[in-house]
Amino acid sequence: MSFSIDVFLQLLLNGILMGVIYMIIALGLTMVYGLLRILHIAHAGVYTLGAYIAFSTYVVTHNIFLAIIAASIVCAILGVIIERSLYLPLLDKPAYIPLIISIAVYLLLAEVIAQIWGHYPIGFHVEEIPRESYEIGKVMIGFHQIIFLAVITGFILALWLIINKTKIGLASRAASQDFEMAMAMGENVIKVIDFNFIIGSILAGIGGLLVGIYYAKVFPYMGDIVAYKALVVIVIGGLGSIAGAIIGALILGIAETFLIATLGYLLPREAFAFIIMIILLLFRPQGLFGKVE
Amino acid sequence: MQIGMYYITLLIWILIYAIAVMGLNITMGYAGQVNLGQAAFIGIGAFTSAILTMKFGISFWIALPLSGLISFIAGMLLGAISIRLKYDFLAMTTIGFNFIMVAIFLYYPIFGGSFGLLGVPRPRIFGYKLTGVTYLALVFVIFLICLLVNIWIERSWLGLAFEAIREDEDAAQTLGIDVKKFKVLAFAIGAGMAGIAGSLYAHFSMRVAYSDFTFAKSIELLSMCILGGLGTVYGPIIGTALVIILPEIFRPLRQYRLIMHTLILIILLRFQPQGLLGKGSYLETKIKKWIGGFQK
Amino acid sequence: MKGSAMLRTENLCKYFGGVRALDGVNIYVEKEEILGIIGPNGAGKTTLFNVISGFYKPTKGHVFYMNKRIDRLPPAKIAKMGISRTFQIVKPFRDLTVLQNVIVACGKDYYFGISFVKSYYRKDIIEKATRILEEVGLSEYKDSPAKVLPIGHLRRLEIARALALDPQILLLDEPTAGMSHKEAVEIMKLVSTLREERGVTIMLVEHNMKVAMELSDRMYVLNYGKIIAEGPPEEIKKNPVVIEAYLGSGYKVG
Repeated sequence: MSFSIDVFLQLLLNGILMGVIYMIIALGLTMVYGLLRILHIAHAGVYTLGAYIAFSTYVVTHNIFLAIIAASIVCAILGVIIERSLYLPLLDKPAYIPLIISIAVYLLLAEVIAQIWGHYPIGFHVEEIPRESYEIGKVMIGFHQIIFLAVITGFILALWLIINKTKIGLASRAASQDFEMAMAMGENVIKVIDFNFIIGSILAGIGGLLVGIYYAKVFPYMGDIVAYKALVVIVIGGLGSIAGAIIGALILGIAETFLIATLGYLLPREAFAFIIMIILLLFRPQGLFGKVE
Repeated sequence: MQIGMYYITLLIWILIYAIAVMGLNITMGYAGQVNLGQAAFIGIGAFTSAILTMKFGISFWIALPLSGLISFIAGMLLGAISIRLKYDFLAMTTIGFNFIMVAIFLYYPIFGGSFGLLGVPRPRIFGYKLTGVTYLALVFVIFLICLLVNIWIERSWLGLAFEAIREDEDAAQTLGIDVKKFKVLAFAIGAGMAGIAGSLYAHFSMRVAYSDFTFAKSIELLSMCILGGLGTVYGPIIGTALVIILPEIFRPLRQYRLIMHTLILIILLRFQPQGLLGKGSYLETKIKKWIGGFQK
Repeated sequence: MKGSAMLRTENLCKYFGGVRALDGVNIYVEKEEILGIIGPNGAGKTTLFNVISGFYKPTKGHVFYMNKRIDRLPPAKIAKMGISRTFQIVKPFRDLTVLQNVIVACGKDYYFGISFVKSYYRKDIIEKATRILEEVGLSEYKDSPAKVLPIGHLRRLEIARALALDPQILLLDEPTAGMSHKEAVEIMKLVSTLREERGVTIMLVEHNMKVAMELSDRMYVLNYGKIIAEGPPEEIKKNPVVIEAYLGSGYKVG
């Protein structure tokens, strides 16, 4: 396959944009997995709810910052409720139990949202963000895309700082290295877990808001593809590794975009992410950054 | 007559799903290999049977076992891919398998795209078309065969090897169990039953489309299995019946069917994770006491 | 002497990245011998068992069992040939009954090919499993699920399962770890009875020096993946190299 340099750059840009969407969901998933060893599929419901809360707040107040704050608060609370009421009491049960509960919570949230706001997509337009496009060389980039990239990069840097510089961030890293030990050390662990769910859920909520603005619409099943692809991302990254999730997201976004551009006629596009994952697991059963036990 | 037909139809659906759920129970309940893509195997069986009978004019009576066989082979493949994977990686791979199969059903024209394949023929026996009660009889016979296979597995070395692998793979290996072989078998047998169910499904609904075999359907199958009790013989059958019958009873609440369904699943798993009939569950303890009382 | 060995290793090496868990180990064990293998923590004792029982492939070197090469065979094959083992961290089938735990181990002839279609619930099989449970002193628990047993009983269950394979060689990985003195003494009694009554060859990895010294006919001392001493317990006790290795890691010998 040969592309002109312009096409190549355009595809690369599109791939990176896809990648950051996956990334912002995958980060929360990997944080939860790192601590509790649970595939937190309900995260996709948190993400969808975040998008809808932001949408409704914006419709009422016409203030995008209020929308961000409302989405963050609701998502943080929802995240902690899921953690406290469903995950923590089931830690000693077989792994499929929290997994299936998590899937059920996602389906439930999506359905509740559909009952409240309707099954169909609703347009989400934000006046502060004009839909202009710029042409650099022959590569097209939209103003909303630039904002999108900038905001997500900002959040990821902030997350990086929180995890590496604050006390609770360091504690949560330590806990994810040796959870049983941390559990034995006492109740501070619960705080650390709460903290992870709060941060992860806020990221998901803001992710929902940004993706809603990006595609100019919200719909109840917007979590579907993103959720499963974000899971693919954390599997590729090696489950529980934050760096793995960031790199895995970019790899998946870019690989998918290029594969669809070149082999898109061979297989449906929804299948590529999973095929990439399964082929990778055939050679590295522990993911790219996972440790061999 | 109309009402009779309604109950017959309901019963046929319960039995068809129960066959697939029994299969899932072998993979997951006995052998402990998580499978979140069972619906894809039903799909493989359903499309195999539909294509064989519609495009190749092959008799249903040959297509039915062939559907089971093709699904069995697909299960072997998924099992072989999954052998080295640890729990959550395995779960993700089976989810991925489901998504890939659905995408394939939707993408390649032979599967009829989003409309699917219409007009799958009803089976005939000596020229007599099986519908209603006669189809129910057919489904019931096949259900019984699968149930017998299930009971036999539970009492054989095969079932014991499955359970040993579920409990501890390392220990199973040191006791002479070839873990890889039995894991592949667990997937294959479970998938094979799903394939048989798929064929019965296709020839009953007379239409096969990708949307019947999505990941959400796999979760529904799993909830049937867990509701009754993973790893028990009769639990999955009862679970299947409950999941299908309950929404019928609460018809006025139909709009909220999915909400009810997921809520029940969440509450049940949270407070009674071994299912209604699983080891140590409330009902199982009661029943045991009751039987114990009789024996005295 | 080496020609008559039941099992021997030849320049056995196992590296994990840069760590040499086993580094040129040559050992042998003779028929009906109780062979003790001791060494400080992390000396490579469990790795040695994992290589012999087929869980790890050696980086270099070979394992011979009755003069046949068995390294690179899968664990299930090795078990079927007559080498069975227990684990330091017990691995019971928690939800199966104690009797079923042992029955699983009676099926080595059925798991190969397709004879697994036969029923396991047969009189001769149940009798065999029951007999073994009596032998290790667990018969009163035979119908309880394994998960309710205390650790001392779980170690007996491990031994019972290993015996059900009718082994020629039994590899015991720290059979007394985490036990009270009284329980340890009982296990020691059991191990010597097994040798006398079944004529089984025993390889014993032990952390508890006393247990190892008392049971073994002959011993190897492993340190940093290498054999540093060999001989009967009395000699090992006095060997300055051994004392040095143990003092270095803060343990007392004997």
